[in-house]
Order: sequence, then C-alpha cells, then structure tokens
Amino acid sequence: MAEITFDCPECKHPLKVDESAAGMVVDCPQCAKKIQIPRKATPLVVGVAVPPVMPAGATIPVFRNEPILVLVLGFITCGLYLIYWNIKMAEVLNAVAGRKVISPVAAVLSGCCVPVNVYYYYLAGITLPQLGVLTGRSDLKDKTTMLVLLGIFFPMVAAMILQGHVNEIYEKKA
Amino acid sequence: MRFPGGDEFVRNRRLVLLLVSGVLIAAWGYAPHVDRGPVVCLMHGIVGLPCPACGLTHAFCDLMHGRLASAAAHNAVAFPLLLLFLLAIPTAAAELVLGRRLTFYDFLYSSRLAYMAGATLIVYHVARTTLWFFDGRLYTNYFATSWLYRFWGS
Repeated sequence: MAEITFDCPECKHPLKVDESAAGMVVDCPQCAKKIQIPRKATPLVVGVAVPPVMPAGATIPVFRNEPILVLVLGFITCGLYLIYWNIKMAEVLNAVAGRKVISPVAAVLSGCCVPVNVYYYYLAGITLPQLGVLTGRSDLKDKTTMLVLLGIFFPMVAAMILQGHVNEIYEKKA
Repeated sequence: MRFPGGDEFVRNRRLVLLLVSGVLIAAWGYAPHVDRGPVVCLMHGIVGLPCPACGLTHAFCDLMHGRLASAAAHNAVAFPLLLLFLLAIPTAAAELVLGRRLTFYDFLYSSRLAYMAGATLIVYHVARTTLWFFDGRLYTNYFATSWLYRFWGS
C-alpha cells in the first residue's frame, strides 16, 4: 500500500498517510490545524502499518475481538471486562487519531458513570472519520451521533459496534 | 456530531463544562429522592449482582451534601470521580480562555496508570461484593430485588 510522507504546512511535523487519503482535508495530529494532504506520492515505506494521518513510525495496538464476545464477557463478569475493554479501546483510538483523544484513566471511570461514558463515546465518535479513512469506509463519519446515543442507553451495544469497526482495521491489514 | 460554535477543541471543552456542571447540579438536586430511584443496572436488574457502578449515584449525591461516610459505604469510586470532575471544570475553562491545551494532566493518558486504576477498581468491587455476601446485603439489596428472583421466587 503506497503512502505519502509530508510535513504539516502549519507546524512542520513529519506525517505519513495512506495514498488513498490524498487531497483530503484533515486535522494535523500534532497542532490540530486543518491541513490538506498533498497528492504527491513518495516511495513506499515497507512493513509499517499506519493510519491515514498519524506521526511517522506510530503503530496501532492490536485489539481484535468478536463483538458478541464483548457483550458476553461484559455480562458474565458483571461489567468488569468492560473496564479492560475501555482502556484497550482508548489506546487503539488514540493511535488511530495519532493524538491524545481519550484518557485511558478516564476510560476506567467511564464504565462506572453514565456522563463520563457519554463523553467517552463522543470522543470515540470523533475518531470514526479517521477510522473510516483507514478502513476505506466513508460512511463512518455519520455514525457519531448513533454511537453517543447508544452509549447513553445501551453502552454494551455501542461497545460491540465500535469493536466491529476497529476489527476492520486488522481485517484490512490481513 | 455538531455542537454549536467553534472547532473540535472548543466543542470538547464546552461539552466537558456542560456535562460536569450538569452532573454536579443534578446530583445535588437529586439527593433527597435518590432512595426512591429506579434500578437502572442490568446486572442488578436481571441476575441480582452488583456491577462496579452500583451505588455510585447514591454515593455521588451523598458527596454533594457532605455525607462522606455514607458515600464511602455506597461506592468509594465517587471520591476519585468527584475529584476528576472538580478538576475538569477549571481546566476546561482555563483552556477555553487561553485557547490552548494544558499539559499538566497528561499523566491521565498513561496506560500503566489506567491499568493500575482498573485493577484497583476490580479488587475493590470484588472485596465489597464478598463483604456484602457475608453480611447479607448482597441478598437483601440486590438478589431479592432482581427480576430473576421475582420470576423464580414467586
């Protein structure tokens, strides 16, 4: 898969993106300013799996799980598994966004407190467009509201959906 | 999702201020009615077992009225949660005023700290559930009010 390497025009931070993201306007993971990804491709960097926009050399932690297993484990452990799941998912989504989006420590508390959980899924929703670029799905950016609403009323279902989308990263790599 | 005004940075801080202040005001106002509140926990409702969040609403309402011992008895997670909330308000407000992200809370992005906090929470939850099993509160406060018990007990 070809990649484009370039420096952020605002902060000059080195970035590496998938070629499929050329021409897109995204937030720089370093300075958060809106930047347009150039169309000029540079030689392929082999063996490094990176999301469309993240600091060069960064990788995404592997957290692949069957969505139904998230529900089952969450239920039979009386919610204890979801504490672990929240931390791992925060790590994955931070890597996908290439910046600090969700605090893993706050993710621990999100399993206990509905308002914190709402904020957790709101932040997870923010990363969906970047996740969508990574997996080649442009429809993900429209699912943020649904994810937040499910996070309020059916958090386990929201977790299953999020896990399903994250699994697509690894399926695409495989 | 679009919130009115500003970019993601501003939206996130506004949302934090709205959520946190809303929770604090709601907990203060809801405190007199918390004993009559419905069972909203699926674990409690279906099988009669507490989850790590059980008792947190009660504990948080107690904290807002200064009843520390009662808060600790219901769910001690309310203490770090209130601390996080109380820190979040001035931090988000300061970031909005300054227009930049503050870095003093970057330690909250440490995975090691998160796993330690998670492990502490799990140990605490198992310990309190065990205690409630032996003193009978697990049966009276949880199992006896579950749907499973009502279904089979009737």
